[in-house]
Amino acid sequence: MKKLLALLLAVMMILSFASCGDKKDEEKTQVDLGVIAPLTGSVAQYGTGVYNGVSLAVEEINAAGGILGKQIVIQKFDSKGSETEGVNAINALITNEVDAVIGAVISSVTAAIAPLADEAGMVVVTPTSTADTVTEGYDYVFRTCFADSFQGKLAARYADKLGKTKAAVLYISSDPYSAGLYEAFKAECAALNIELVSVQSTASKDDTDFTTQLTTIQATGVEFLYAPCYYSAIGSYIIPQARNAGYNGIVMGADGYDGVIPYMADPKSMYENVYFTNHYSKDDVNPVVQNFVKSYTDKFGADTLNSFAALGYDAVYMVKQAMEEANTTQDKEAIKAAMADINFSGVTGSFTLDETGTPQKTAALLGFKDGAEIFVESVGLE
Amino acid sequence: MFSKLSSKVNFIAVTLLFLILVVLRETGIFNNYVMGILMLACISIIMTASLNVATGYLGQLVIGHAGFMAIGAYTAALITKAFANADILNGSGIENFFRFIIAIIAGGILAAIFGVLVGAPTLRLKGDYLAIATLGFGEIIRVIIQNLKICGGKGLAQGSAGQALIGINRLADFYVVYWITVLSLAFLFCFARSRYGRVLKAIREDEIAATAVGIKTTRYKILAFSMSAFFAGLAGGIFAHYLGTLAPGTFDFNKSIEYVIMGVFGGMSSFSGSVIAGTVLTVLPEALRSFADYRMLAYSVALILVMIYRPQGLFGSYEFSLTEQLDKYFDFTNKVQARKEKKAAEKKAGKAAAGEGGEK
Amino acid sequence: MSLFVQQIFNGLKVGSVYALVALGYTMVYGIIRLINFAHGDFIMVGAYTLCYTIPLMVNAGMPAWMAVVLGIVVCVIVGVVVELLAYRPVRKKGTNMTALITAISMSLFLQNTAQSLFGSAPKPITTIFDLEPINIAGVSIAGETLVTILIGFAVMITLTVVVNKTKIGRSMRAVSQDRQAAILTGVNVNRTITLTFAIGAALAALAALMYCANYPAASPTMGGMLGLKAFVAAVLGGIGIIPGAMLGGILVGLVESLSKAYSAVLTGGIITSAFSDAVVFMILIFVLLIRPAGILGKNEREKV
Repeated sequence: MKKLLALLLAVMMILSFASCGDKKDEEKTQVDLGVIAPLTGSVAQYGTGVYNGVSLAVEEINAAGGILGKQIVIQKFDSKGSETEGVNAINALITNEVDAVIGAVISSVTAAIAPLADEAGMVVVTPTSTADTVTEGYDYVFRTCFADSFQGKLAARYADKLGKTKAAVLYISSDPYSAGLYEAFKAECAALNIELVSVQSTASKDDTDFTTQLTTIQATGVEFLYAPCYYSAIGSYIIPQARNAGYNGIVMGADGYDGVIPYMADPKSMYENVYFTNHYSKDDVNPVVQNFVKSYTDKFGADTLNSFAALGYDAVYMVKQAMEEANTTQDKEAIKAAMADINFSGVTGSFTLDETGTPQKTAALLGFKDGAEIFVESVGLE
Repeated sequence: MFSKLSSKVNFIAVTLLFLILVVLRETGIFNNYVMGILMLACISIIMTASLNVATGYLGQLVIGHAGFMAIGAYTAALITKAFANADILNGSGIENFFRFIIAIIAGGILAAIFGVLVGAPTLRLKGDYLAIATLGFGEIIRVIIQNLKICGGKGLAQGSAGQALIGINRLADFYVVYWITVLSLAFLFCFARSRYGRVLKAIREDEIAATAVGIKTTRYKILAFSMSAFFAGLAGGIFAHYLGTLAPGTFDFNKSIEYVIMGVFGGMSSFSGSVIAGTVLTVLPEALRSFADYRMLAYSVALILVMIYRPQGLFGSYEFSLTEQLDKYFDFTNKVQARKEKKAAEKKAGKAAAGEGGEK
Repeated sequence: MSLFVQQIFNGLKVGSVYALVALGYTMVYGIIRLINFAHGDFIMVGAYTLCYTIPLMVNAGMPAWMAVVLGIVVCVIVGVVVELLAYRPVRKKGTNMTALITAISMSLFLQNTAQSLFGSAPKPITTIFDLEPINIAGVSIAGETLVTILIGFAVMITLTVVVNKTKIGRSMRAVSQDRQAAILTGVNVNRTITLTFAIGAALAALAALMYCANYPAASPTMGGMLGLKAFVAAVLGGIGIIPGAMLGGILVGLVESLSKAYSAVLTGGIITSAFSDAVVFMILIFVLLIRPAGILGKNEREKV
């Protein structure tokens, strides 16, 4: 027994000595950029878009000499869309002492990593997490996209602008994104005296049959349907089923509609009267947008070109700008301060950040004509 | 076989392991990332071991275990939130410890109550049907939680349905969780080796015969099932307080299957197997990140191979015994026995000597 | 009133698909007593095959639905390979539980393979039937729904005839009654079971065709919930009973549709349309408790 204790003590001492040699704060010769995105699993298509956008931006920046003369090196972590994996990833990135993190993509994962990053003083820019609460109360967490409440409000205001006094909703009750948009839409409708005559929900974002809900909505005679769902469900199921059920009014959605075109069924005319708010419009004549669209399409093809890619691309440039303005790639305190005061202009618009780290910007209202996207107008909250 | 000696040996081993982990953590060799993975491993171990009771000992495949985990997770999270709001036990250190323990035990108890509610009617079913019923139950729980206002957003009165539950105090401390895991395992192990455990095995082997010898099978089945649910709830509570966020989609069918996989790999009625499978299957995908892309693919193939070549799981019902290993290499038990006898003899001799002295 | 009838027809639309899937489930279960968890994923395999073969058919100037022939071929190959490589060796030594775990693993395997091959984003499928909806007195029913129901009945009758009247059907029944005795009477049990799987997989391809006609996209996880609900349908009707699957499928569809349409109204908004999945599973548990053998099944007491 004594021998054992002695052995244990010896082991303890060796171990404590081993860890004594703390690393000094040396000036690194590169910028380590962590990326947390779902690259496999059921939401991989969003993560892939973001990651493509990020790697395109990093490639451009590195080709142009890097940030403050230092090349960017990506450390990518696959979150698989799971909070657990996201937490593992942020812990690893904090341990690896990266200089900034782009991620996560899904709001629930970002919500899980935000407090950890904030505690560790790690600058995190989430390109695409739109849930209102993910950045609230965390000084080090910023985002590139607008928040759900903004898009929900815009939809209600658009209904008001069209003179609708009644609206219906079809949303996915288990999906934080969809449920969040619905709550925001509902709140703004109440403020604008728009009556919600029918609120229908579905249990899972993988559901394919909405006929019953749409029939119920159609029976109320409403002409404005807010359906914050995802592109594949909208293209393949919701619009055809709505039109079959005899509903020919407006269907409005949010950035989840981006990418719907390949899923459109025939005849394409049924997608007229479908509108959505998006982060940018591919047809924007702004050279920054056109440049992005061209380089992205050249590198990855047009299939994955969506707002996720654009937001990932912008997030990297936001980090670059903040580091340059703070004139450091390592002092996180200074980078955070510079990020909070950023005045950024990129593919998804020109904006400053509010106190929660959320961009103050306008959205593009898009519609469809003959199976192609059309830009309707630029919408904001004034 | 499991004399007092072996429990002493096990206790010492577990304490040693703990001390090593303490040293590794405090010296920074194991950083937060590694500790996080170890925490997840502890959660997996409790889940797998609790599943063992139902699947291994009772012989009923449960594929809705994540439902119980969800009940525990949400209950515990909401309780600590409520405590924080009411400013009860909302300090640091020891207060947080008690708040955490109360919350996870409450989560476990609620899960156990649901275990009884679900088990009482469905445990009459057999085999495949019971499996499907547990699956159905897991789905029902998930759908209900997704539609409850208090289970989303900031939770409680400020909640909003469909959102991830955020801002849960991250109270799960590894040292505490380590001992909870040890205690849970010890309890489940003793339960399985007790009279109750043997009754469960009897029911598993032949329910009709068990009834014939006077065993009230339904009562025992419900007992085992609710105990299994209790520990799943406990693990859920720890999970919630480690992650700090609960997303509605987390506790789905795939989550249940994940633990079935661990249980099968470890051996369906082996607790040592649960520990090893729970640890390895949590750590391995992290260690081999590039392989992780094909994790589920590899799991499914491995699972089929295990089913073909070792249907009872890798460990079957084999339990690793430290005492036995020590015996094998050091003749440990006999040495201890010999030493004891020697001591006793010395004592006797001493006493005799003292007695003799007294007589003088 | 016409709204109510319309909702019934909506229920028929989804129920007819469930029925077609449930037929495959019940066919396999009835003979092998194995819940083939991967049946839903066979449908996924069929759907992806259609995704690639329909354009071929259309280019060759043939009707799109002819693609189902290739779908059947692919599904049968997958089904038989699964049976030979996984189910048969497990059946040899395992118990019911190991067989079920194998089936679940197979389902995971197929889903993850599809995810690696095709990505997780759903793939759109072009129009298969160009049918006009039929309108009667303000109520419309999609042409696809009618076709699905007709195919369902045709399959149901064919299967019943095959199982009850043919030689191979006789050996199937023998295998389901008592495998050992069947061997003694000279039935080639393994061949019969493999054939059963082939038929089940072919039905999955057919179900995939009708599913895609109604819901035109394929995704790696599409078989999961579809398979589960079809399984519920099969249990509801009485698993192993062929007409029961048809009945169960339609009933599950109706329950789903009506609960979506009216539960919110009846419960004052507490139970919303999002609860329909939970309602389906509650019915499953309820049926298992009240009539474990299903609506058309005979309850048998287990003997010692």
